[in-house]
Amino acid sequence: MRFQVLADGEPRPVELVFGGEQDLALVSRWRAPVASEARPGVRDTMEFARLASKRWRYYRRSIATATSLDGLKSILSREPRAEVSLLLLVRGDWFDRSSVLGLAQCRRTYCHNLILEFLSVHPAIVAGAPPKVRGVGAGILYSLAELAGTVGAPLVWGEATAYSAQFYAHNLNVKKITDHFFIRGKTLEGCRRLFREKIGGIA
Amino acid sequence: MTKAALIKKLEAAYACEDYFPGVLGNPVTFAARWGLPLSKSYLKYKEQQLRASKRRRPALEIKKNGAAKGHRRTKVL
Repeated sequence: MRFQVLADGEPRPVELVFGGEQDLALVSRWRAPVASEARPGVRDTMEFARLASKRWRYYRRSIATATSLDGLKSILSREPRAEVSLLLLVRGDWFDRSSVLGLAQCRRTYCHNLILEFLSVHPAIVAGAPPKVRGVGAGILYSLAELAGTVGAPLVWGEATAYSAQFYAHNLNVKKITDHFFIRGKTLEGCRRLFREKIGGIA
Repeated sequence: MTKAALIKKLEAAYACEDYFPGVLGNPVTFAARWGLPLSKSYLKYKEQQLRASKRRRPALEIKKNGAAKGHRRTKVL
């Protein structure tokens, strides 16, 4: 899957791919700019990247793990009620600090819904260090909706916090989000449309 | 589509990024829910953050006794 983000106001292509062990090694090398190391958002994103790696490794031992879209489809055809772990990465070769700009740890439940367990963006992007990149977080969310549509999952859901509720409300065009969000029906279609028509998304 | 039109579309689509907190979710609750240990450096950072917020908290307000009383007293008969 591909979509466009903005880097210093210029459109730049990024790719959303299924990740694996080798990609986690890249994520473990994420570093925050020294000046903004202590900022809460920056620290949180670093910690989330670490937790994502731990969680992904744990899932790898306990449930099925898909490392490609075909792999996911194959698991689902063999075992329709399988719980499947997915690590989605946003990659862009033009980003000097790392080839991984963001990640999302997701799980496909036995009901064929997707759970967004967490989403994290490179600490330098969170810190607003140059180049100023916009669209990684929202792009992942829209891509996830597109992925759900591709595999026929009717719902993407997840936890919202006091800090992220506003983001979801604006992103999903919903009046109020409390501690959870559901992307389904018209909202899911709207996100998929945004992916295809507004952010240059190619499935 | 022209480059300018694409930039305009992207800017509109990503306007909500102003609200993006960097991570979606809370590292501490996530770690607790899944039984994952937080890193030592993060725990230290959180401890420092807590200490700093305590320092910033204003001292308890001391109740004043109101306006100073004048020297003349009204004689109550």
